[in-house]
Amino acid sequence: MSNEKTSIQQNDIATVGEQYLTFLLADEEYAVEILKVQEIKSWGPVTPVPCSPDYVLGVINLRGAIVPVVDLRLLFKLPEADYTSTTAVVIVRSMLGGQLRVVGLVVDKVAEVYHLGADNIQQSTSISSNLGGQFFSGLGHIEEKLVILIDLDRLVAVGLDELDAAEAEALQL
Amino acid sequence: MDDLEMDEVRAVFLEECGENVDLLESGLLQLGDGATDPELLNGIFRAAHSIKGGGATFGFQALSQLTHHMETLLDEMRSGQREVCEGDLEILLQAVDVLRDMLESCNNGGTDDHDQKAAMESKLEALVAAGPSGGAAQLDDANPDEDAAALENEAEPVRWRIALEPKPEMMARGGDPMLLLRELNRLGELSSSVSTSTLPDWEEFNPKTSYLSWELILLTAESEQTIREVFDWVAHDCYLVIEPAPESAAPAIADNPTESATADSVLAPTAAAKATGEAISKAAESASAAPAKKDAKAASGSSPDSSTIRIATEKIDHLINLVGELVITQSMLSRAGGSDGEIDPEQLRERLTQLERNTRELQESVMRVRMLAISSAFGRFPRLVRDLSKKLEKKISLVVVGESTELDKTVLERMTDPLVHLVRNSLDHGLETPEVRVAAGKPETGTLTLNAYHQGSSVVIEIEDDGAGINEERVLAIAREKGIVSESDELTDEQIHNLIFAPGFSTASEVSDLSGRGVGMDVVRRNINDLGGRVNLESKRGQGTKVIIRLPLTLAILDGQLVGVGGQMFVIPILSIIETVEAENAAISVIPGQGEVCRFRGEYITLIRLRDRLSLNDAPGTSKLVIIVDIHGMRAGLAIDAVLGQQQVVIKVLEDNYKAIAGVAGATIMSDGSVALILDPQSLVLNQVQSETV
Repeated sequence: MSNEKTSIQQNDIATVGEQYLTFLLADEEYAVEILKVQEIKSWGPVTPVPCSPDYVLGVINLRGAIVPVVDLRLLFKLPEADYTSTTAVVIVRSMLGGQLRVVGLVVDKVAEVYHLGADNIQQSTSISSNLGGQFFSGLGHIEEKLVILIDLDRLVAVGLDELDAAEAEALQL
Repeated sequence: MDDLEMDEVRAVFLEECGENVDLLESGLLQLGDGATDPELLNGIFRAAHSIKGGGATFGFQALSQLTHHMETLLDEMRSGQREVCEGDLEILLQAVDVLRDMLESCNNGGTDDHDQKAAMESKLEALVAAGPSGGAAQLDDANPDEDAAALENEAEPVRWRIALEPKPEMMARGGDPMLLLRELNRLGELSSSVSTSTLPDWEEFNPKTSYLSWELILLTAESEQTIREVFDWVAHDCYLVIEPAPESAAPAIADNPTESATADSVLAPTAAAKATGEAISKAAESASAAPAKKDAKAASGSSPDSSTIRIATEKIDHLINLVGELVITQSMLSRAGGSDGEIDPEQLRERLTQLERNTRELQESVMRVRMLAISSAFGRFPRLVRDLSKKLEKKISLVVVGESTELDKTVLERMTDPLVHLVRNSLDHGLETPEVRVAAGKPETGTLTLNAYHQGSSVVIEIEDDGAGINEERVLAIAREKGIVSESDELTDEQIHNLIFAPGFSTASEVSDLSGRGVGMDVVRRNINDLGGRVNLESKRGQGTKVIIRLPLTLAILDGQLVGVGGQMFVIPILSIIETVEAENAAISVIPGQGEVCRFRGEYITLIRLRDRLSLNDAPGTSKLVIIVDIHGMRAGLAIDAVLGQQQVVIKVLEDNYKAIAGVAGATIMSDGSVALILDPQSLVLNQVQSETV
């Protein structure tokens, strides 16, 4: 009885894989691991921080914590767009060098939650490294649709700390 | 009891030990020649005794042995057999230093071994052996080894019967019978029998409960007092009888007690059972008569140095009261807010005012939890002044005012070293020798005053001496010689005084081992600045010098000046602001290739346009005002758009989720929930100066 149940669960995991949250940026669909998403907020004003790259819009108050907000359109060098009522801030958590970092990502619109198994993911080796390609870990197929998987740890390390590729390599990202 | 718990108990013990060493030292310093104050002597004796008893229990033998020798000497003083004299005190104080070193080593995970321990012990033994009238004078003649041997041979070994029955909870409280037995074994020849009659079935067996009791026979030359001391640490957690035993008495099993403690060993003769009964009644008496001992503190962290804080119970009680009030206010507020259908605006306003008051009080009280009295930093100065004045052959009296002034624990810890340095400096350079003082018409004894008080939301610490003061000509000459100021610069007296804090400056004609290397004052100022404080120096030739340190009460909250730049709000720490002037009166002029300067009180200072610096060039508004800030005695102007008000702000760091930004000290959350950046004038100005010189 219990053995049977276990095998079913294992089967589920094998076919279903991990859950991903997807969002839209310039009509392209991107995905992040859902376990790294803390919450989703609507767009609100941010406080700009001097001496920061242009894609770091500034910081916001997230229940007493100061959290930087990154505009993914600017980071991925996509055309700029106005912030609308669907614009959302996806709050993600990334562990880096033993430190938990909370970062907000501005996206055009939050889309879906998908299960993606290993079968549905193509690793990123063949993706070009320009246009923000360094932040992508692979491509996922959902039926006929294509989603771009984002490597959050790398995005936080390279985007926020402005580490170069060698330093990011040293962190084994 | 597992290792982890033992480590915790040890950490508590070591912490208490540190306090006892401090007590010991301050007590000894208060003792003078021929002192007889029994209260004081008893206090000192108790401190030494606690260290000794605890040390033995927790396996710090060296610690315990050294204190034992100190205690012997102190006991003679206490009982009036020996007159308190300066020589004895000197030796005892040296022993205190050794103790402190040992404790530090233990705290850092080392052992309590110390290379000076043996030498110190023989010195103390020699003092005792030299007899009551002796003192340090006869020290050299005495042969410590021989005397020690003679002492030990004096007493005949006596047979003692000890009945020990730990209460079930003893082990849970950190007592370990094995340690006690081991300790007794050290005193002499020990034989023991164990009773396992109360052992439960294995199913009910709780490894943290003590089920055994012991019947011990100890053959030792030590006194009953010494034997009882072994049990000091567990006095409340066991039933104990110690009495002289008849020669014939022998325990049922003369074996190692742990090995005999098997479940099937049949013992506990009726005599022993009876003895245990007696023991219980006797121990009950002694327990009620004994003074209440401090309970082991609940708080004990893994690293004993700064992770724990001791808080007065009344502070916590006050907090609990406040939280209670807050809960009441909250429920009244929700009722006034219409939980029963009707909104009463009048009542709502009233309750909101009450909530505001509660919140403020709660905030203040929570902050106060981190506050420590400055006496813990001042406490070390009597010893320092005593030692140094002897070494320098100066007569100095120390006056301490405002010891109970409280400030943040972190601030206090980081201020201790700078304070020591300043005091040393005053003693070494400031105060003169008696001859010079008399010649100058001043009293022979110099006075060093430490004063601490609150002023607004900062703490002021003053270190004042009535010594020679600063010789302005000499300071200026040296500064010119070292290239700190150029030949052509004209400086005011105030500016000259503050040259003392410049890096690489030293006025001492010859470098002594106390001070005068010219690194100290520089470091002192940097430490104080790092804490968000400021240091100033006032001096009058021939009358003395006063160093004034101004520190924030806490590092978590800052008094901020809110300013507007390009439509955004920023916070500038009020402590660094001198004044605000209107831009049109500031005589701003451009120096080609050097940026802008403005005129302030007759001198030209660097002007930083925050709009440019904070990349807000396109933002609306104009720079109408200039805030003059003071960094390391260097002044600079910050051009801003508007002054918006003053407020206490809670400091949050950007590094938690982002990274450190040059010119920004952190961020804070304003009353509307938005984030405002706190500017760091020091790094703003330094960066500006650097970028200009590049």
